[in-house]
Amino acid sequence: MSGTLKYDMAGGFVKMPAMICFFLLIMFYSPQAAWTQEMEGNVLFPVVSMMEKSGYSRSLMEIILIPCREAVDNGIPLDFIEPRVQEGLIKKVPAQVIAKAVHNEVFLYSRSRTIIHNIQGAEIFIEKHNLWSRTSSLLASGVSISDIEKLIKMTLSVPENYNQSTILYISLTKWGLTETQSLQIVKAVLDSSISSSEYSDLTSLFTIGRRSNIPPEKLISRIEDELPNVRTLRQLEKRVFR
Amino acid sequence: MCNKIALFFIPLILTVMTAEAYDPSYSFGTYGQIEKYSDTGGAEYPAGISADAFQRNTLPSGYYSWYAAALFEYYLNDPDKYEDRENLAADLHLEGDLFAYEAGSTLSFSFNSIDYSSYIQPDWSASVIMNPSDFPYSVRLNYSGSWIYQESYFEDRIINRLQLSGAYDPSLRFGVEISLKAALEDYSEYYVLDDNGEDTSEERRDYILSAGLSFEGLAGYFLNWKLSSGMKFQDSNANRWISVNELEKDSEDLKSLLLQSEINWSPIISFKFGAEYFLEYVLYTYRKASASGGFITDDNLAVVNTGGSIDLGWTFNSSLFYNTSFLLNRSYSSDPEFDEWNFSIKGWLQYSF
Repeated sequence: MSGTLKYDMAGGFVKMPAMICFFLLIMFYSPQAAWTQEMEGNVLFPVVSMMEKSGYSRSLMEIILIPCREAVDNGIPLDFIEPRVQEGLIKKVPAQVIAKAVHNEVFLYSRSRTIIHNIQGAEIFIEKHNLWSRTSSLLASGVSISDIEKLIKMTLSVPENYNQSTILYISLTKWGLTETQSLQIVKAVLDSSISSSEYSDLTSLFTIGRRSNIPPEKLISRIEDELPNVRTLRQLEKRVFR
Repeated sequence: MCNKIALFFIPLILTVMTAEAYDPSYSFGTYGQIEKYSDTGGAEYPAGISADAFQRNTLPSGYYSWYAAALFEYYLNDPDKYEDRENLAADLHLEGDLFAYEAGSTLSFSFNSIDYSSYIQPDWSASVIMNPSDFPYSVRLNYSGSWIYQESYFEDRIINRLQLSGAYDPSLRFGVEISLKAALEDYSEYYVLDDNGEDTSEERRDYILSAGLSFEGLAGYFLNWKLSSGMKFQDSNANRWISVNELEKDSEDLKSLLLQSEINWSPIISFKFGAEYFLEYVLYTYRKASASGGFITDDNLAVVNTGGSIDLGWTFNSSLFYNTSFLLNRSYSSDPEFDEWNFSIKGWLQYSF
């Protein structure tokens, strides 16, 4: 009790720290509430609303909003940015770190758009947000611009196979094939009758070949030779390892 | 008749001659091994060299391939002990709209075999596979045969097998196969015995029926797995002479149950890991187990075989492969003749191009 009760002008006792907090809250929230109201109708409102629900102060929100405004100014849909902000908020990441991540996203989306724009007839890769987003992810994972361009060009006539093709490319390079060898396989599988849902499983043929110590160069050659003659990867497996 | 044969073979030869040929694959290897069997004295140290070649060529609606391998093994612990093993194989695969056809033959032989002095074993096989284009189902009818000649051993025989199998293979992620097999084994130097333990003129003949069920698939991108099971029934006229006027009839009749599992994992190009395990239960229908003193008991002979292997491999440039394997097998039985074990550790280098 001691130290918490004070005598006031009206002759009563009040809880002084509680009073101070109350006034501070009024001072703090009134302008913030007004600012939030002002943001309503703004394109950035969904992000602001998210941050507000997470209890972020206006100054912290402003830090995160800087790269968000940058995205809007660059014509990058906010849908691309929101998941990154949300992820940061859930993980209670400092605002500066979230801002940096969002800024990086904006850079990647701008860069991937430039790459797509430089390829004639590739507009659909911007129009379809999942393709644009995938291109940005490839950049983020360190795939060279030249290889991204090749992957886009290979799938110009079948953009719906782009994502699966890039997943195959990533898994092959991650396993240890060179970029050139991986592109060679992607090209061959795109020209085949194999369903795109099976593309990524093709990597397992190399792990099966590894069991018998078959040099990857030999296996690539066999796969390229046999892909035109098969409809499924199981058929391909039977042919290349027979 | 000759005209019909010519009409069949001339297009076939022309097709094969004009087929697109691809570069053959070759590999050379050398290995060293430590192995120990429970029924021999000390460990043995075989070492060897091997070479093999493989080539596949496409045909307008199929392919054919050939394979050749040779191995020479020398026992470092015994200068007089060495052997060679050779293998030649050819396969033909033709495809139609609904059916595919396969034919293949293999010739295995040795000029100096440790167990058989010399041996030769030709195998042949033919299959018809029904595989509708848009369905993940296939049905295979296979006939295969073998002739086994072993110079210094008495189990020379001719084997004929007929197998019917069905597979559901929607993708590499998961597949299942079920099979039924009937086999007939005719021995040419293994005779049914009379009451005095002397050979009669009746040769041994085994009828074997077996069934199998296997599942295989892919976990993630880099791990393949397989689980299989099988059961076998063997009906044989072979008998066993125990002592005068004591003949055990149908001593080789048996039933068995086999479970096998296998995984292979290669997360990166330079490394591979493989493991296999099996468990088999064999119960002889009439044969009685012997006790440690050699006396025949009233219990039917039962054997539990189990074992496994681990295989580790590295490569530094995708052409030079280094492998190490560990193998351990164990058979449990109340009959001391069947209670045994063996293990081996093997390391080998292989250059493939």
